Amino acid sequence: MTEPLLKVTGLTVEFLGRHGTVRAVDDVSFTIGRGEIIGLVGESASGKSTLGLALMRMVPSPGRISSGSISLEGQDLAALSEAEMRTVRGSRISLIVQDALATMNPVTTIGEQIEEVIRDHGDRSSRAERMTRAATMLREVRLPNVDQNLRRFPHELSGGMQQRVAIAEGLVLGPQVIIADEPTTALDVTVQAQILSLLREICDTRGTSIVFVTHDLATVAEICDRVMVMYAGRIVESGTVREVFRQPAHPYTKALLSGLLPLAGEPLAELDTLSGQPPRPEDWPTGCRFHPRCPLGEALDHPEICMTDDPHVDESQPHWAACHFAELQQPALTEEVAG
Amino acid sequence: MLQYVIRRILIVIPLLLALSVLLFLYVHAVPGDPIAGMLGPNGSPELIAQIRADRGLDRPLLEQYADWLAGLFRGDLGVSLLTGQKITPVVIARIPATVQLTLMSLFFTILIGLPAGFVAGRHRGTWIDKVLSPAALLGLSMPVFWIGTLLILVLAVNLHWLPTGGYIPFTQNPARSLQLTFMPAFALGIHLSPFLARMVRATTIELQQEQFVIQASMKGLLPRTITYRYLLRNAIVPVLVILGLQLGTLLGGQVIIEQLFNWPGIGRLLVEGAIQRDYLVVQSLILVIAAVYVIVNLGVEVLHAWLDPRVRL
Amino acid sequence: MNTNMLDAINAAKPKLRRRITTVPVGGAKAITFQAVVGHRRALLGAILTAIVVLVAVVSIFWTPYDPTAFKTGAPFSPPDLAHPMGTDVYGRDILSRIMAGAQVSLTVAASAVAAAAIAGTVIGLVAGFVGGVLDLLATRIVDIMLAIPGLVFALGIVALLGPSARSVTVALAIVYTWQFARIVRSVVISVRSRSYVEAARGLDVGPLTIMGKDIFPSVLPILIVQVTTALAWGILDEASLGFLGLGVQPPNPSWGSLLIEGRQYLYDAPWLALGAGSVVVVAVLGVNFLGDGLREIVDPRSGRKN
Repeated sequence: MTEPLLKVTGLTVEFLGRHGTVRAVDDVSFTIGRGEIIGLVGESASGKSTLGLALMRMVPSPGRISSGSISLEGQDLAALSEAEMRTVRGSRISLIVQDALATMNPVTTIGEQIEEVIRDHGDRSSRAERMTRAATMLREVRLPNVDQNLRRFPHELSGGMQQRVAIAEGLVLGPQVIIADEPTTALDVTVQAQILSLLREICDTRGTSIVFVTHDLATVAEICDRVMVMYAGRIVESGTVREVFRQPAHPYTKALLSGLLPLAGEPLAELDTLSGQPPRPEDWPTGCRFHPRCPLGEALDHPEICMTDDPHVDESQPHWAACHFAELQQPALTEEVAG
Repeated sequence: MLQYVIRRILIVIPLLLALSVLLFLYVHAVPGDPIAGMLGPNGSPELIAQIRADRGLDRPLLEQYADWLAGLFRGDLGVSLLTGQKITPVVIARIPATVQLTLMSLFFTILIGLPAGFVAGRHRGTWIDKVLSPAALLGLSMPVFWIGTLLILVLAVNLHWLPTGGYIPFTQNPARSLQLTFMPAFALGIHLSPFLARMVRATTIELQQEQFVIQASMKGLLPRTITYRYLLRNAIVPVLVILGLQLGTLLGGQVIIEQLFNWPGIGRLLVEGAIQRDYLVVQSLILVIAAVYVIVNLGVEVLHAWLDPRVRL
Repeated sequence: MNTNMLDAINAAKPKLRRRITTVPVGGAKAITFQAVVGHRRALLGAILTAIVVLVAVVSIFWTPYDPTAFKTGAPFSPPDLAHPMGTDVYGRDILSRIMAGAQVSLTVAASAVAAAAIAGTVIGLVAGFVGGVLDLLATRIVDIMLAIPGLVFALGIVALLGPSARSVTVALAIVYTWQFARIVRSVVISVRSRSYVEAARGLDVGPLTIMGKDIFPSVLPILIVQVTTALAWGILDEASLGFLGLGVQPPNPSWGSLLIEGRQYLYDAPWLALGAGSVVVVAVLGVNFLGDGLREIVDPRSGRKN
């Protein structure tokens, strides 16, 4: 196997709270290959957005990356100085978020905003040349009427157009990795589909990798190559979309896929265990963090190991699940891994 | 944009008319009678009656108002009760001095308030904020004549750098004129800037929590770009609105400062009129000041809408 | 974070206005003794204010010298042990006069603010609660009144009534009323639709009961903050009118009248103006600290901002 584009090892994000530190992201490791789209799914407090920000080294205060490495093409981002990291942001890793309008300077035009990004990353060409480059990028993301829209203000565009501009801004310097945090949630369904296919296309033509943070499993199934399921600050299952969706090995993934536990909103199921809120970082359970809500554990009459021991996993496997009883859950998995 | 301007003007016109009614009634609210009030014990009933007739004050109220309003549209503010002179030329003669002081005061207000507030907000919680914020509160607690008095004592009485007061028209001797404007304008600047600074600080802090400023760091923009293009540029727009609303405080403070520095402006005319109980002069000046305040704020709103396109909608 | 576009547009200006008129609408917390003691700035302000009030009260019974007595020392003697703040042209003791002046100035400011608060609250409550044409009319009147710069307005009224403590009180009361009315009305509007008020309406309770039991308690914390802010204005404006010769007339001592006396001798005896001025600064600073602190207690969000 060739060297992965992005290799995250033991990444831990701590928040300094009133009652000591809490780990919003706890010892997370994964890799992304070139041109790969990886889905990161989980409930709202699972730490998925924090993980996305941590990859940019933009964890909001009082949070900080307390340990781990983020290796982009062999260079450890976690060890860079803030000034060096600035040159990485927006040029080698970009972040695209849900509410595009809120992310744009209300008093500068679309063109100027993109031109600024190009300039601040050391482009010494003339302003006009940079503007042309911005316009080219906007055409690539298929923004209509680029020449007029360059001079418009962000709020004068439609939601779908704003999102295209945000994508253009993230892509203009040709980053290797894009972190897309719910980039389509605020849009209506048809526009959503257009933006998703645009992202997929960019990935294929430019070889850009995307970390797609979402709670929408349908989207993951549609555009992702691989998926990571996050629960309570940890990745509990990881594998190709095909494997994970067909043969979920973690009871949590299984509950998600069966629709018993929607990622947003109230659980549909009347199951006592699954109902209730996901745990908050300040009071994560011991042992397997899913055990208080785990239907499998209940079926097995609450084995003690679930309450005392962290399930250990071999993260080098293409498909793995952090469950003491992963084999029971999905016998096919062991065979597949063994074979 | 044009629609926005028209909408704003349609709100301001009735406001100005209502102001004129209020100020018309003001003169007639004088306990007893404005003439008797002005003349005091010296006014014999015959004299009072004669002046009343001269000034047309014995006619029906509505007729008097209609006349007065018609005069206003022609720019005629009426006649001083005391001297019998037309008020408009007297007011116009005072305008250059007042406008010069107002503009210089605004200049100092911005010069002090904008950087102080921006720096305090940008470096919130650091020593510089911890010095500037209480300083602003202290500034808010100082009466403007007190600031002026201190300046006179230090700069004029002790150091002899500047004269204690007076005015020379700008057209007559620009350098000397500006020199004389310095102290009164600086006093007003110190008086007004704390409020501006607090508002700018609050705006800057709020801006730093806005998604688009956070996103600016995500885009890897230079700190310089974020400070100037993202923060300062967005913080300046509200400054206009704040200054517009502060014009009321400025005009009030100017009344006091003109008195302290022997500045022959509108404010001193107002105080002279009030002390001499020349109600028609007081009435005219309050109307002029309020109208200027309202119209300037209309202008500010339009300018704000032009600068921040989101407001227009 | 997910700022809705319309909200952003609507927020752009009213947010600013709201901050300027200092109305922390909604979510107002009660002002308790503990909260004030626990807030450093509020506590400092409360102590300073208490000292100033205490001095004013003491002056009723005792001052170092008779504040109106001539020749308590040599005329124009600079501050020394016998006269800690010096003497004026007639040899009157400045400290005694400032103490007595505190009584007059604070009474003027407090009565004006009390009257304005009551009148403004009634206008705001009725306008906001009844709504409709009455509200529209009240709002327009408030707009007109606020279009005249405060000090200019007060000056006009004092010119009408003749310079005296009573006139200044009446003038300031009239000028301050409208700010109170505007703030109270905005709180009432925000509270009116809240469920508990609606419920009370549904239960066929009289409008006075709803206003008294449901609406007024929501208005109260913000009202207290505004009263404090207005007190600071009151002290400043009394002094300013006095300085212009339109306040309390000499020889009666008030901070304003002491300042106009001091102004005449600014070059020979600067301590006259500086002494009275410094006391005004300290008093207003105390009230401002208190007001600032109370605002943060009532609206913790403002703590971040101010």
